[in-house]
Amino acid sequence: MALKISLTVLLFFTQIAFAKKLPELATKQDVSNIRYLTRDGKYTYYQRRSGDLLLGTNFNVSEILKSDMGTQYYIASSSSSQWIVISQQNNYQQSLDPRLEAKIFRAKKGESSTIEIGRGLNSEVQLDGNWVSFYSPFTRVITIKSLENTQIGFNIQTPTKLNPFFFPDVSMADEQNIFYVDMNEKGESALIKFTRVDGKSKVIFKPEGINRRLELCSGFGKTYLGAFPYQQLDGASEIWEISADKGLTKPIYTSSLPDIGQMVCDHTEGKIFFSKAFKLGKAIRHDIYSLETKDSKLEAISDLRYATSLINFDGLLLIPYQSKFYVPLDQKQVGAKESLSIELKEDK
Amino acid sequence: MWHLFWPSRSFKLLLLLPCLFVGGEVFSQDKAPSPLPRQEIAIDPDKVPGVLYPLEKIVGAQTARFNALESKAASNPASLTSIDITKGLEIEPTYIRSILLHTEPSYLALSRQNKCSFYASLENNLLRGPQGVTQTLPILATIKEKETPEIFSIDRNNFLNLIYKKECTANRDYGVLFQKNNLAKTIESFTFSVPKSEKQCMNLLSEWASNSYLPYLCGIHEKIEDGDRAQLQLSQTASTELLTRRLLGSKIKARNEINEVTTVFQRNYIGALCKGLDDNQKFCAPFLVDEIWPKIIAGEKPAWLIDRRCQELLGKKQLSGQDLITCAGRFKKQPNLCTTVGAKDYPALFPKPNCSELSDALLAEKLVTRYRDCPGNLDNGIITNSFRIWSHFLQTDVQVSPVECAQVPTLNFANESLKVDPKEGWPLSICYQNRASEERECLPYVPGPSKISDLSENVVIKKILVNNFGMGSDSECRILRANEYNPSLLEYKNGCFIIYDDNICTITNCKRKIVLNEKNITGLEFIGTALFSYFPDSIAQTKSTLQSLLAETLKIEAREIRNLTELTFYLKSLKTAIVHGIGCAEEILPSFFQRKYFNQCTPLPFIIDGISNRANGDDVVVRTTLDDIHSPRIIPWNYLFNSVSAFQTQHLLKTWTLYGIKN
Repeated sequence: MALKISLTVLLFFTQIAFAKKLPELATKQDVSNIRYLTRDGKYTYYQRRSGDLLLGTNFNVSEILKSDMGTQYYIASSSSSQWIVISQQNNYQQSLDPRLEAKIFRAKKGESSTIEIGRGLNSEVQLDGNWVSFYSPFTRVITIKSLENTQIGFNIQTPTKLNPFFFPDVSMADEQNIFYVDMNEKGESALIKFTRVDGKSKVIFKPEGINRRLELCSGFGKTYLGAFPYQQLDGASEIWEISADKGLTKPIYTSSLPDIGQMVCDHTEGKIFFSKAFKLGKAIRHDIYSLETKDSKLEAISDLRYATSLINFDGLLLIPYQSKFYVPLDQKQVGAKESLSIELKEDK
Repeated sequence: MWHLFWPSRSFKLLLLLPCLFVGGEVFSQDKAPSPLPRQEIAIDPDKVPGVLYPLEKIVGAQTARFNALESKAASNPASLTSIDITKGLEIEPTYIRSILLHTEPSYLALSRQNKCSFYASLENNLLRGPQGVTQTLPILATIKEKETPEIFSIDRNNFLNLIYKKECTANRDYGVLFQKNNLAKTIESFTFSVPKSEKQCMNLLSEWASNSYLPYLCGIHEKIEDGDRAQLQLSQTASTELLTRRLLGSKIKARNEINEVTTVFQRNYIGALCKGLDDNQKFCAPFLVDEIWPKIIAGEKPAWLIDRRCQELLGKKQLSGQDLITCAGRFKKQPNLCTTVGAKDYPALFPKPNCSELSDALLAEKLVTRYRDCPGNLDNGIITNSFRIWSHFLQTDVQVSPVECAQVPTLNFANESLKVDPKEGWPLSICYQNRASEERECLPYVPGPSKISDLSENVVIKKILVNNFGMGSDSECRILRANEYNPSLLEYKNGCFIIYDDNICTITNCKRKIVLNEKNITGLEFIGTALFSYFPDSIAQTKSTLQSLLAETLKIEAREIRNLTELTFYLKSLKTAIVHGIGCAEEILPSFFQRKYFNQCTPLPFIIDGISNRANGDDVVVRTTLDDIHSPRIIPWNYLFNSVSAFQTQHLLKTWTLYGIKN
């Protein structure tokens, strides 16, 4: 027993030690309050405990949205977009349900005036940040709106799902063709293409069985589809490039291991970053890898063993881990560090 | 080890004959006359049964001989007073042979332990002839004033009474111990040890095999099986067949009486023992295999771990022991079955873990889950988790239908919360203008239907309609989905209907209209929002939180858990203790929830109730409030730790939200 406990303790500390090999993101503002930082360091969006969302610039702080204590904000944008999309979730800590809908606002980067554009979840900027998509789980409607003119937009009604907590992933190939991933009432997933001209949805790809989660990812004019298993014990993983004309192409990546996915495709042209599985003894562990879309070359860019997600934070790849954010070991990242106004804590 | 030398039934026949009939006057075949033609059944070394000689032919020939014997015996009923037992009394050898062919191998093994085991097996209906268990036996006996034995038919009990006068007298006392009035105490006196190794299991089985009580225990098992079969038959028997129904009813009654004084574990253990006497693997495997399914069948783990899932799989409300075995077999053979069963009626996160992961999780878990819930129809994880915690500590055992699966946890929360804080314990009310008092009144309610609770929506609305809208007090309000309600049909012309507009009606998301006798009712206002705090989220917290509610109602002690060592120690050393908390869904379930924003965290309550031995021993057994209660997942401790750390940064008081609780 004593041996077992000491081994467990050792294992626990070993994981922390691994995390220290990567530089950690540090900011002047408390990192946990930050909601968005522009790469040039000009704008910092952060929230207060009181329920307000604020915009900080070099010389000024302005209030963007005001709400009650316990309100949570998220901001979606991209490096190339002039817009930010704000999700405002009231009663965030008292209504513990992933379907809790948020009020969705649009604002220009660096400006404090906002327009409410709808209610829903999973808001994402699309097509170089000129469009936004979001989803309402109770009406099962995907809403797509232009950020420039919010009067322009359209809805996609989706069917009843066997998983009440399933939220479709959306990716606009162009202004006319929209890919989305959905689930039906039998629990089967499918990649669907919605054509705006005729308002029709067509199934492009349906994986066998129900243990395959489909995930969309786009960047640099390309769209990718990942198929990853829900069960973390077994199942294969695949990534394809897809296009509005041809649908699925040959897979650019296959693995017999259960990857998590959470792909980022808009950081470096020709590269997909994702959480990939590897075997460690009897166990399956995950780290972040980069995949070259040309030659399917893989490279590990973290060594955390439990890296399950990553985000593209206005051009900076970040790996959330134990309430901190780590910067992956990637050449471009190191270069990027020089031009960032934010600090990176190096391991000493 | 004797069973190892019994590779085939035909070979058993060869071995059993000398064992049974050598020695003992009663069993002596040598002395018995052979009044019936032996035909080809005689065991000839040149005609080895089952190998060179077809077993089917042997059975056929044996049955023919048995029928001849039975008709001969039936025509000569024995008179107890005329039989001279000093001249010998034995069962006719043809009947013994038929027992060899028709009795379960396990019971044959039991009956050949010694003479007394044989008689006890006979007494307990374990030995079967071609017509199953019969009340009469063909015997060879000699009547007074005669020298040659004859074939008689005798009542089985009378025969055993005669035998027990002469030998195996202790059997009589054993029989008394297993009678209805003494059964509970007798069963209680046994120790049903669970073996931990193969060697230990073999020794245990060997000890049981030589236990004189074993035939009586197996007799109990047979009565349970008979009762289960009778239950099935009864549903298929016409009500006019009174005699059959009465007979089946008495078998069911006997089974129920046994079930009342025995636990599921005891019944399953005895069952496994009685079926495994001829093959140690049948008994030992369930205890030694590292899977949950055989352990449930053997009674080592409780049946409620799978019975709700099994009910859905088989479409049955009541399960017999055989049904559990069927389900366990299918779960083992078809791992994907567990991902889908019950998903439609009890909405929850989908897909559920497969049977292989489920087996690993159930082996390590200890949460008491004798109910169903449906997280998909409830939109506040606090209510889901609170019901699960209350049900664990109070050992709640309730059948929950799909219609009420969200209602039951919500009513439970409302009732407990109102007990602690009658004024502000529950926020949802229906307000209306009382026409009699001309005042606005508000009544607390819980959305959804229930016949028994005064808080349920249908009951509260009925109360308002009766007092204010002239509804008859003998009518009820029915809750319907919009697609079920068709006003053009006669059944909807009269009465009260509460019609939900959307597919989902949750405590915070429900659009409804009320119709009484085809008229839309207006003037009812549904007020309040179902918002609760799990842990304190302000320093000056005045309203109760779930943490304080649990402490007050269950008198539980909470302890902060910070690392895997603490967690392991807490769960393993404290019998009923569980661990609960809140973490970010993106960390706990990364295959279901994608992170898209900086500092994104979807708060997700969960319960940890075990440490899995799978992989490196650092995986935990978790039920999030999105998961089906009967589908725990195995998640690396690191995911859990990351999720709680991430939620801490977003919590209003930066609270660490992982606590062990015990009472």
